[in-house]
Amino acid sequence: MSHTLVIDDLWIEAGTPERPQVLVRGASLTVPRGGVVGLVGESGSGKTVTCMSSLGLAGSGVRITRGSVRLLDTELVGADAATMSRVRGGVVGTVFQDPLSSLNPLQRIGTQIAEAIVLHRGGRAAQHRARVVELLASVGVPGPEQRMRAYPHELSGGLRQRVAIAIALANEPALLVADEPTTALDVTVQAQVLEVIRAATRSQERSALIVTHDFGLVAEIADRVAVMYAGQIVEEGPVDEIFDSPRHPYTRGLLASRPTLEPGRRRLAAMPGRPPAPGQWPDGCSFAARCASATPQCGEAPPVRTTPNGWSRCWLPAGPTLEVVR
Amino acid sequence: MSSTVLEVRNARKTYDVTRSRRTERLVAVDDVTLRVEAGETVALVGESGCGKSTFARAAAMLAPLDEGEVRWSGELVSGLRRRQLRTHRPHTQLVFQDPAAALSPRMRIEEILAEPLHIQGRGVEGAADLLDAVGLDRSLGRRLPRELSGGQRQRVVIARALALQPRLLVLDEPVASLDVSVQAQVLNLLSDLQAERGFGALLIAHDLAVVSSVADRIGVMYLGRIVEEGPAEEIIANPRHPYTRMLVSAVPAFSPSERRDRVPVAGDPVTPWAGLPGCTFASRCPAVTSLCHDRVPEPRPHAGVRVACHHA
Repeated sequence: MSHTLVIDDLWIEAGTPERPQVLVRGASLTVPRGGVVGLVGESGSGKTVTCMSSLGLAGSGVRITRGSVRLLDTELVGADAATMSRVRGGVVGTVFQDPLSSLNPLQRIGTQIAEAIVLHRGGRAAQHRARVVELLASVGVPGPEQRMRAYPHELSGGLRQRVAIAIALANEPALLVADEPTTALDVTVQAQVLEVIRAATRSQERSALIVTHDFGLVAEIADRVAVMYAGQIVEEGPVDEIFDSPRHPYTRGLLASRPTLEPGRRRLAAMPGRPPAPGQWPDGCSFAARCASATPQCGEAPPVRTTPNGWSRCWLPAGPTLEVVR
Repeated sequence: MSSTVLEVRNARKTYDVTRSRRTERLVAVDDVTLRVEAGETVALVGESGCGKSTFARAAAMLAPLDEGEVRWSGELVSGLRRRQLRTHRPHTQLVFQDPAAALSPRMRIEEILAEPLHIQGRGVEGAADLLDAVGLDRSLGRRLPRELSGGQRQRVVIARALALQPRLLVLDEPVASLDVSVQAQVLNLLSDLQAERGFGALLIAHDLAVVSSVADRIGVMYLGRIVEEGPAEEIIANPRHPYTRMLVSAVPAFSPSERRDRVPVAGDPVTPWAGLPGCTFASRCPAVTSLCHDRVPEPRPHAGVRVACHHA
C-alpha cells in the first residue's frame, strides 16, 4: 500500500533551548494515497502545530527535535527552503481557518490564483486565465469570469474560503492539508464548503489531512481518524470504528459530550476537568486525571495497543469496548 | 404558574451605514416579538448578521430600540432614563461569548464577584458562595482572570451574573469559544442553575445542536426577522420554514453512518437594507414564488409554532 504522507515519531518543542516546552510527543500518522484523515483534538492538543511544523510553517521558535515527515519520496524534516517552497503549493495545498488572513487584500483573487500556478509551473499570469476560471468554477464560485476580478473584501466569507481552496488546488496537489477549514464560517456556509472539500478529495489521486476540533466534520468527510490529547496521538483508526467503538476513554468522552440535534432538554455527558496545558503533562497517561476508568497503573506511560485496523494508547485491556454513553 | 420575565414587542433597530459616500439604512432587527417566562430557556438561532446579538443587547437595554417595547417582569423599561433603569438592572444580567474580555484583567476573582453586590449596596459576604454555585474551588477567589482556563473564566462570568439573583439571564454565545469537552460542562451547569434558581434565559447561539439540548423554545432569525418560533421539540423535529429546514440540514452528521444528502444549501445571506420588498429569504429559498418577492410574509400559527412563510 502506498502512502502520501508518513509522519513518524515526531517531537516538537518551543521556548528556548535552555527551557524548552514540549508541544508534541512522538506523533505518528499515515495518510494513505487517496485517503482522507481527520486529526482531531482540542485547543492545545498539538494538532495544528503537528501539521504546520510538518510543512515548515510553524512560527519561529517552534522546532522539530526528532522524527520524520515523508511526503511521497521527499523527507521534509531538515529539508532546505527550496525544497519546502517546491512542496508547498505544489505537492501540498493548504487551507486555513480564516480566509481573510490567507488572501492578499490588495490583489484581485484571479491574480492570486494565477500567481500560485506561475510559481510552480512558470509562464505569465495571463496565460493561466482559463485554468483560473476552471478552478473557481470547480469550487462553486458563481460567475467565475466576473468574480476573478473581485478583491477579497468584496466576497462573503464562504466565497473567500472557496477561493482559498481554489489556490490550494491550483497545482493539482497530491495532498490537501486543511486546518479548521469550516470553523470560521456560518452554519449553512459550512455545509457548502464541506461539499467543496469533499468533491476535491474524491479523486483517488488526492489525499487529505483535515485538522479540526469538530467530530462532525470528521464524520462527514474522513476515512480515518487520529485523536490527539496533550501532545500525543492517543487513538487512530477507521472512522466507522472510532465512532462505533472508540477504545480510548478520551475519544469516548469527546464523542459522548457532543450535543446532538434532537428534540428535548437533556443533560450532556460532560467529561470532568479540562485538558492539561503544555508543560503540565504528567509522566503517565495524560488523561488519567479525567478518566473514570483510571487505575494506579495509569501513573506509568500507557502502552500502544494495536487493533486489527488501528491502535490506541491506553492501559485498559483490549477486548469489548464500553458502551458509548450518549 | 408562570410569570413573564422578558417581553419584547415589535422591536425594530436600524443602523445608518455609509457606503460610497451615500448613507443607507440597515435593518438589524425588524418587528421582532418574543417572550421569556421564568424558568424557561428561549434560544434565538441564526447566522452572523441576522440580528440576534443586536436583539439581545436591546432586550438587555444596552442599546435603545428605534421602535418597540421592552418589559422586564411586566414593567416597561424601554424609554426609561439611565437613572430610573438602574433600579431595574439587577433583574437582568448578561453573559457574553468571550469571558476573557468580560473580566477585568486587574481584578481578583473575589473582587469581580463582589462588585455587583457592592454597586447595588448589598452585603458582599455571599461572593464566595457564588464560586460554590458554579462549581469552582473557593481558592480561585484569590486568582486573576488570566490564571484561569477559558471554561473557568466563563464560570466566573456566570457566577457574577447570578450575584444579584436576576430573573433573566441574557446569554450571547456562552459556549462558542470553549473547547468541546468544556462546552458540555457549562451547558449542564446553566441547566442546573436554572432548575435551582428559576431564572428565565434568553440564549443567543448559532449552533442548533447546542441549542437543542438546553432550549424550551427556539426562535429562528434570518436577516432581522424571526422566521419561525415555537417549542424546541417542534422546531427541531418538524421545521416548517425553508430556512429552518436548511439550518437543520446543515448540522454535520453525528456519525459517519449518518452522512446524507442535504437540502441543497444555496447562496449567502444578503444584506438587509431598508426598503427591500418581500421575504428576506427569497433569494436563497428553494420554494420561492413571485408572491415571496412582493409581500413580506406575516407570522402565522401552525400547531403552536409561528411561521413567517407564504408557503408553510
